[in-house]
Amino acid sequence: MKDDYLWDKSGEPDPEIEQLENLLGGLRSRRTAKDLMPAVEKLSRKGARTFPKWLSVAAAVAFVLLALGVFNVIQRQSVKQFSDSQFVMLNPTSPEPPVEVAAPAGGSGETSQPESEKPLAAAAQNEKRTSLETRRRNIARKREAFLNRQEQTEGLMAKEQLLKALQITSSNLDIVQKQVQGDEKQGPSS
Amino acid sequence: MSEIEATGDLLLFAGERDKVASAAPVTAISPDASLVESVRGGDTDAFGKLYALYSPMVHGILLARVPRSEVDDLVQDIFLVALNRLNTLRDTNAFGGWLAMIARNRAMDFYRQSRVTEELSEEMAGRSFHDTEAREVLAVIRQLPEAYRETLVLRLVEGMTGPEIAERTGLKAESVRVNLHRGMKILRERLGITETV
Repeated sequence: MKDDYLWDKSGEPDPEIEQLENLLGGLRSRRTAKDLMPAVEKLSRKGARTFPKWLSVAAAVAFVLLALGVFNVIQRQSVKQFSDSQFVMLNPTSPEPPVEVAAPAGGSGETSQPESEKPLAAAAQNEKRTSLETRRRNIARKREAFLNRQEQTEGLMAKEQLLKALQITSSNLDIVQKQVQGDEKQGPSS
Repeated sequence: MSEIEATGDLLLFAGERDKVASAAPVTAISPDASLVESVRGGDTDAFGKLYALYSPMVHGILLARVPRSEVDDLVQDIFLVALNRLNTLRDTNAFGGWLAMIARNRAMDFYRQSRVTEELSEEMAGRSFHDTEAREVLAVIRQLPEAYRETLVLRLVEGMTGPEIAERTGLKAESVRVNLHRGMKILRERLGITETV
């Protein structure tokens, strides 16, 4: 049957189909796998040798994150040490002497003093109180100045850390970019 | 008649292609699938065998769509691309359908990228009378609906039988049979050949 010839070349051959087969058969490809083998072998070698691109990028990103983490920890530790030492330098003595609380009039502490010395004692107490307040204010000012300096130091260190991280990131991205460009140059033209 | 039927066939064609891609794992591994596994393992001889088996299909799919002067280079490109992406193929039994899909997509990309140059290269290539006649017949085949032209080129140019076309492309044998007969009928009409019964 002629339909079978068209389907699976069995049965009685159809002369028109045979003619078309003969005519169009000349359009078949004459290339073989051998023509492709150098490219295939190159591709196989490359596949065995290199990482996938996504793995390279992921490794670079992971490395940058790790570097940032390490820098962060180091920075925190150094800032803490620095601030502790600065605070000790600014306040070498014990923080403040205990403030004497003025006893109420007629208390037991004043009964021993003579009447003539009472105004002098009160003036001395006032003087002592004002000097204490001045000292407190000075300490507060120093503490404030120290905190400002601490903040500045932290800021500077953070800036340095950021710059270093950016340098590392850019160098890693350069490496990855070179790798990807290298892969593309070696890869097939598609 | 033919346009509507061909559209229906094309839909069937696309549906089948999807079926091939998402087919459930087949228990029996075909010889072609074991070749694919060997190629994955770096066996270049297996790649040579796979090329010999499937290059006519890829060549036919491209010849039905792009200028002949470009086809040979594109066939090689497609095999290199396939080799590069072979690890992404989940079901090795579906290699044929997968490769056919790469070839069809590559043909579409070709037209997106270089429509002007192909017109020139097709005209510039001077050939013998026999070759010119073959080109004329091929031009008529290329005007047929996609499903018909691909099947006819595989049958008449590449010399593949219907069952081979079905096996290599992952299409259903019934669809290939229908496409062959309908396509041949339209081709006879357009070439002015009266069918002898």
